[in-house]
Amino acid sequence: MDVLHNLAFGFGHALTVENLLYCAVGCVVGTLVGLLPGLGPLATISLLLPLTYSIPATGALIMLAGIYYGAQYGDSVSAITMRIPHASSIVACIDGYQMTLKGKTGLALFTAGVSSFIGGTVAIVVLAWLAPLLGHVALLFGPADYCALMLFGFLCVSFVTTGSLLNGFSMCLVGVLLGQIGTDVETGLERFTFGLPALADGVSLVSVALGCFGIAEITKNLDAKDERTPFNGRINLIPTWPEFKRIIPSALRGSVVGSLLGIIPGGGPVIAQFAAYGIEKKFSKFRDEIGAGAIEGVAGQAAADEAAARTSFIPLMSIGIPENPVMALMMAAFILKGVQPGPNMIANHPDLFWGLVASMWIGNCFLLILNVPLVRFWLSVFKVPYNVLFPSILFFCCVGTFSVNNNLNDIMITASFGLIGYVMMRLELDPAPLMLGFILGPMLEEYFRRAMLISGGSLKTFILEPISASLLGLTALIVVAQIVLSLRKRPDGLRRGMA
Amino acid sequence: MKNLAIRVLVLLLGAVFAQGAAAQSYPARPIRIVVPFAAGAFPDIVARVVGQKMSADMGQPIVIDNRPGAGGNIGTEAVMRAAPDGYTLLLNSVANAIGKSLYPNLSFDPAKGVALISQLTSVSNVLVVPPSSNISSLGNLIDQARTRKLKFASGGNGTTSHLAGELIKTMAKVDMEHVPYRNFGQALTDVMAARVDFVIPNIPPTIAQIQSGQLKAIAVTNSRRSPLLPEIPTMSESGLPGFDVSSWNGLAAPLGTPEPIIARLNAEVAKALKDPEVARALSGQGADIVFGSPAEYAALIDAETTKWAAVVSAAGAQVK
Repeated sequence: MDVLHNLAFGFGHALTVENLLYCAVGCVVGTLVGLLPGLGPLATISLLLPLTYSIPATGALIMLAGIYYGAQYGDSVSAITMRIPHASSIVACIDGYQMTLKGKTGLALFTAGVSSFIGGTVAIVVLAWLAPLLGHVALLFGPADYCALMLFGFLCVSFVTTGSLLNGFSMCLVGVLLGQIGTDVETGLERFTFGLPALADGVSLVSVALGCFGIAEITKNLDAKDERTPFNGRINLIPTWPEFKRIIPSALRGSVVGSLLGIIPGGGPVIAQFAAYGIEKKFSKFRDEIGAGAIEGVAGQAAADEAAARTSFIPLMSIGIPENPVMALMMAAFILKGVQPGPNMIANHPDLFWGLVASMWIGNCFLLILNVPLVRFWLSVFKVPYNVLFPSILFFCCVGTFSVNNNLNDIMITASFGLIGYVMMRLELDPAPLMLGFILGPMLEEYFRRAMLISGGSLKTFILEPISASLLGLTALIVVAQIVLSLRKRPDGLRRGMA
Repeated sequence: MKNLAIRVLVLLLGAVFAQGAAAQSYPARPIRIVVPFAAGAFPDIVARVVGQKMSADMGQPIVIDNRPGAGGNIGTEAVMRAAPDGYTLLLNSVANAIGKSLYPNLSFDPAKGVALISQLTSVSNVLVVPPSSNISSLGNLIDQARTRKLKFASGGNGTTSHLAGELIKTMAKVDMEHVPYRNFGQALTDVMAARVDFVIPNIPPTIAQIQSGQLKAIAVTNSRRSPLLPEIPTMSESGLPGFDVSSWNGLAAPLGTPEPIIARLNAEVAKALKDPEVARALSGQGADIVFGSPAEYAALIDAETTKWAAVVSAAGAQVK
């Protein structure tokens, strides 16, 4: 029971008045970042880093970590209420927003909050018990395995598509093409940039997501005065007992998926949300309702997103490898505090490691309060008239887009995607599979080419690597099963009626 | 009121006196240091550590503005276009010296299109292999490269980790496969897991793995050994005489920044680099602190630009 002893030691550090305060500040800032459309934790932490120079190491890192996981906690709120996603709450725009359209905003927010709490708790258990061991999981995944994982991920297209599957796949391919814009990592050559320096590094995920969902939605509201988004800031948060019971299994599944994808570099919250959504669509008892505003569609992704955000600390703290830009920044924060993240960190700075883990659980409780009972206060902004509300939302979208690379061009790119998104909406084309293609496509290409470079051009590498082989086998199995099932034409309507 | 009076005087007396007056009241508002790399990268840490001390000394906040992309060109160009008033500075680096030959079609000169203030640090790269590797020395690596095609990872096309590998290829006349990565963490994990034979990154992002034995250091690329890894030989000592690669960085401003402001910033950099806290933070990461006059820094950039032009052209790495 070493871990319990260590956790008690950690709580001893996390429960001092100052550290509680830093944790609370981190969570509040994180919540605000999560609530404001488009703003991400990367820009916020980068901006607030100088404020931590005079704070002791443990307190500073507790606060910065709080901003990161706090931002993931509340990032579904704007997706649920306004269809404005953050990078890691794109799928919340599907069921979460459908729930709002049905007048169930409160239930969706409650579900997202409680699921995040469950996701956070599961991830902390993983972090405390397995962090030293799990760091090495990151080493198990090579380019071939990642490539297979991305291919597996493309299966989710059929899950995130709400309309016709053909449309879904086409949009996914459009997303893959959009992902090609930018500099090719292998040759350094630019692709589809039309010589514009603004496109040299590609278009950012935030630009595409904000444009295709949020800005398109606002534009729609402008041209149809009678069909305005029904959400008016009034919510009923308390679910019925049967509703509450539906949250738990989905959130637990999402937590496991999120925890796993958080550990491997290249995974993280962005991928975890799609995986969790796909799993719900496949295994949930209520899978037939998902896509039309089901609790499961919100619970799984919210839990996975939060769990992945927390377990992504594992590679950083156990092998010293930052797996995403936010973790690279956290690594800088550790270094600026004179702590070298890496294999020796837990042994050299046990107070810091266990204090941070313990603070994550305290933060989890703060965030539950901030995001469930207090969400009413945040949402009172909706009482503002539309002609003030919409411009302010657009303003925050601009700030959020700008903050990704501090680049004005990105605002223009977001605006262009707003237009594209609006046209797509009028043509009833689905933006969710487009996002999936946009995220997975470039990674699939990069890993495939790297796997080929390393294997000397032999495709056998995909069969010889056990992880890759199993994932490819699983992908093939699901595709075949799907085809067989659709040929047998399962009487779906009948089953749904009985359930 | 005094400030207002000075401004009126400035208006009346024109540009000649403007410079002196601006320097006297400088800095009157926050200063921005553009770092053309992602937040958390080593140049970003340098800017934050040095900027924090300069800010305390100069009594104005110093804001770090990360403008990553296109090998540092996006951030560099942004600074070159900024007003030359001393309130926008650039953390320039070896990437600016490489950039000129890497991107021959650039409309600006990333190395010389700025007014230099001072160099800040120089950090060696280090050749690391997986702990299980049978590569025991640089000589051994070159021998193995003659019998099988070794693969080396890098942080991307045209980075020092890529070009140091290309330099081994030209100097030792061997052929090796370059495997570029966008996410440097994944380059490290692939080397740690022995999927790739070696990588030659800067010391800072690998020091923890070297010290804990997850990566084995073979040679440092600088012309002298690193105080942090005193037992690791240089490349020059171990079979490639004259091999000298280091990743340096420094502070610059837009061309046309008034001379008194450059001098003031140079003095502030000198003061900041002498601070024990700054020294501890930077040398703890394996960086050497280097202070010099703008002219000395210009000489370094000149020499480096020439050196990398040869490496880039030998490697055929130009991006056109």
